[in-house]
Amino acid sequence: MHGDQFPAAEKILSDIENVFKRDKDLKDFEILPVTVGENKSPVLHAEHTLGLQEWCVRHLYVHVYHKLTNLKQQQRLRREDPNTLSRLLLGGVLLNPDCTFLWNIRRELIVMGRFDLFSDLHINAVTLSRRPKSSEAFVYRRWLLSRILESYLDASTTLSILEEELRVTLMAANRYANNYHAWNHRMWIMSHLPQAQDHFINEWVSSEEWISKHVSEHSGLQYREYLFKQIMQNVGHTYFCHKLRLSLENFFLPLKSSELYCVSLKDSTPLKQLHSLVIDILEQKDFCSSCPIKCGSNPHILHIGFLAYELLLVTELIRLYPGHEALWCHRRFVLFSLYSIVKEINTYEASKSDISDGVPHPKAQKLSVSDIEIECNFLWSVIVRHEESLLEECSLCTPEESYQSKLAFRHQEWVEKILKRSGSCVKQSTS
Amino acid sequence: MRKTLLSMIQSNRNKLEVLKQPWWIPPILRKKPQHSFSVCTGSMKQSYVQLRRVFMEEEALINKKLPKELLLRIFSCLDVVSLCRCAQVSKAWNVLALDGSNWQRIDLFDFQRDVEGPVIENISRRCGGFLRKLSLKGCQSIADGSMKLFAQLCHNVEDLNLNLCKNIGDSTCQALSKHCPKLQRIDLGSCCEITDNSLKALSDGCPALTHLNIAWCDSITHFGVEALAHGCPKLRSFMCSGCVQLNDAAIRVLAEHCPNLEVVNLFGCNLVTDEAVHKLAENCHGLHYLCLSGCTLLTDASLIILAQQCHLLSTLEVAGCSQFTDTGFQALARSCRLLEKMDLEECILITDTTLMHLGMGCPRLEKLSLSHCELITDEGIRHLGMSPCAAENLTVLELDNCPLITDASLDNLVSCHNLQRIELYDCQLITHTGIRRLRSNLPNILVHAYFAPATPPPAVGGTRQRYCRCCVIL
Repeated sequence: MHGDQFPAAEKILSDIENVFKRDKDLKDFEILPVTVGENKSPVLHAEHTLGLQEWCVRHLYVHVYHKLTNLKQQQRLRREDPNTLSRLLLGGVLLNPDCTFLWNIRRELIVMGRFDLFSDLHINAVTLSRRPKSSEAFVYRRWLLSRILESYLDASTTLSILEEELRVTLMAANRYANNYHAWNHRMWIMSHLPQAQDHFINEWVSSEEWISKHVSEHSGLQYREYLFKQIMQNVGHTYFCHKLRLSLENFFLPLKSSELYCVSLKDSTPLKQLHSLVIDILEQKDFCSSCPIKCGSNPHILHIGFLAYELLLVTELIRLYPGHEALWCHRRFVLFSLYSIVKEINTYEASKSDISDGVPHPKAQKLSVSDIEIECNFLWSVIVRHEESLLEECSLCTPEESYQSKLAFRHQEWVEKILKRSGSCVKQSTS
Repeated sequence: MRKTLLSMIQSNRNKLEVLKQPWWIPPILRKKPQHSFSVCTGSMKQSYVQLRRVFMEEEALINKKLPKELLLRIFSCLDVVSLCRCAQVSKAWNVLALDGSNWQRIDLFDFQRDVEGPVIENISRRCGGFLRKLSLKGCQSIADGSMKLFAQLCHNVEDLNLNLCKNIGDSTCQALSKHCPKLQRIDLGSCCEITDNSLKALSDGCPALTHLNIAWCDSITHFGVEALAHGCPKLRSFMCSGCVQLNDAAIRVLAEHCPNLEVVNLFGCNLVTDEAVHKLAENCHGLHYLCLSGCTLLTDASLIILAQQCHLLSTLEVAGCSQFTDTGFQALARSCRLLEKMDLEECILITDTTLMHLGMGCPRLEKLSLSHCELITDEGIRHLGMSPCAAENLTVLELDNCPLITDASLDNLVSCHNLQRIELYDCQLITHTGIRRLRSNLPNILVHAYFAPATPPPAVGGTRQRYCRCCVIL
């Protein structure tokens, strides 16, 4: 009945399908603002882009939707001619990717082995080009990929899948601000594809450019945080150390003017090692081309290097683009990671001293010891120095940037509450 | 053998959902019977007992009045689903309804997803020599093993449809050739594993073959077809769309040995030349359906020889034969006066002259496709509209992608009272007003054009509701 109202629908659908068949590299789908129809196909195809004129969209979608719901109600979906069905579904998901019903029929047909997984992946990518924030489409994509990953894949296929996924998610993230689904999908890809480990560093480098262009996008920053955590789990990327050396140098610069600079610590604990390493870096001593920060001798220096790099980057971004809460949140992540490292070193020290005494301390006591020691840890004092200078700078900002000072105030509160031990120092600076 | 099946059916007699799951489904696939009677009230139990007695003890009126032979005769008119229902009624009916004589013609197309090997084996055991016609169209799970058993047991089969049974291979055809000499019609369309060996086997064992469909079995070559032609001289219908390896030699032998050919489909056999058509036309005068779409090497010579020899031609499909010109169609229209359906899509050289001759020569023309015939103008349509066929028979006219057609053509078609569908996609000179005028004259016509319908479509519940019902009310 509805088919009679708009007989051209089937023709338009087959036109769309033909474009998909002809152009395997189809990238985009757009609806063109043409409201008056001529007796001419509303399907246009140029430069790997599929265009559909606006006047037919509504009629087409009504046709597809009614036809599919009728088939579903009469339980004839399985017996329908697969070609007709795939045409209808293709039109349906292109026009409304948020409709779970359509994706579910596709799922059913995939399970029955009537649709090809890879061509479905392509259709899904084209769908995402118009609606980059469709969570249903991303969910379906993950479903497809997990089905693909179930079977054995050779290395080149996995690599091409990875590249395609990275392209699709980047495209989606670029087209829709704060696209949580895209970044979430990217994270999923990085943790599920077997070859993704080799790409963490590349991703980390390329995401720097992205976050400096999208300063208020928390999803992107969160992805970077995810990458950081992943990189930390398998450290040992020495080729990166030249870059980190410079940031370490800048990071520890306040130490030079501090009294902690020449303090010599008791024995060859990791803290002591770290300290001597830092001093080496600051004095540009022992510059070795293979690994300038000697990350092999101390496991923490590389972590600190990454975090220092990140902290300096985020400081610069906060200065350049005042009033973006996402940056402050990211800063808190960096600070908290640094805080955990400091704590880790101190507990190690404490436990070592305990063992040397021969009598292990009760747990509560041990914690308090490490808490006290945090304050006199040279690393912690450097961090506090950095926070102080930034907060000071923000308190001086102009009235137009009142939001920035509000954010700075919140940050200060957070620092006081979470990183309690440093509270006194920060208070002094702002009062 | 038959008893085992029978006992299986009887043990399942009380199931209520058997209607959905016919008996040929192996028992594992069936659902467990619902023991609903235990929760029934006393009176219902009583009435059930009564009913049971009435039906089971052969005291039912219908069983008394009608002799078994007559009941059997009635059952033989029922379809598969009704027979299965009747088999649930009583022991007596079960025996009668499942009698092999009722199962001479089986079409399992509606159950294609559920049909698997054991189903075919059950059916062949039960029906045996009674089975004449079996359609397994689209039953993709069927494999050679069960078909071999089928061939052994149902040796009287005459009509077998295996279209889209993609797992079927040569050994099925070899078994059929061995056991089923009465086979007349076989449809092997889209069974891509079929090779020349199948055709050779069929030619050896099935001399009665009249109808053969090997569409899209693209490993078939001229060797297979030649063997077939030698062994099956009664062939009347030969469909080999998409068998791209077939050449002139194959068609020549076929035409020489099978003079009874009436239906020939050579869709997409692009090696075929005028010579093959020449042989076909010379030998098979009874030809009434011929599809030569996609045979791009053909020229007007083919049309002229067809016009001279095959006067009974009623359907001619020549889509994509781009070398055909007005000369060929003029000859054809003059002598083949019985033409009803013509597909001239993409015969790009034809002009209004062809339409003029078709209009004059073919009064029975019902369906005419002129898609992508870009030289056609209003003048040609005017000739067609004035011809006798237009007023009486013309029902479908396809004019899509004819860029020169204007609204004047539509005005010329007003006298075609039977016209039901007209395609005008991409005819850019056609306007909305022209279509409206045509519609007002022929109210039942279906116009296919890209124009959006005048009435706005009803709202769709397609987009997911953003709020639940209570939130909407609030």
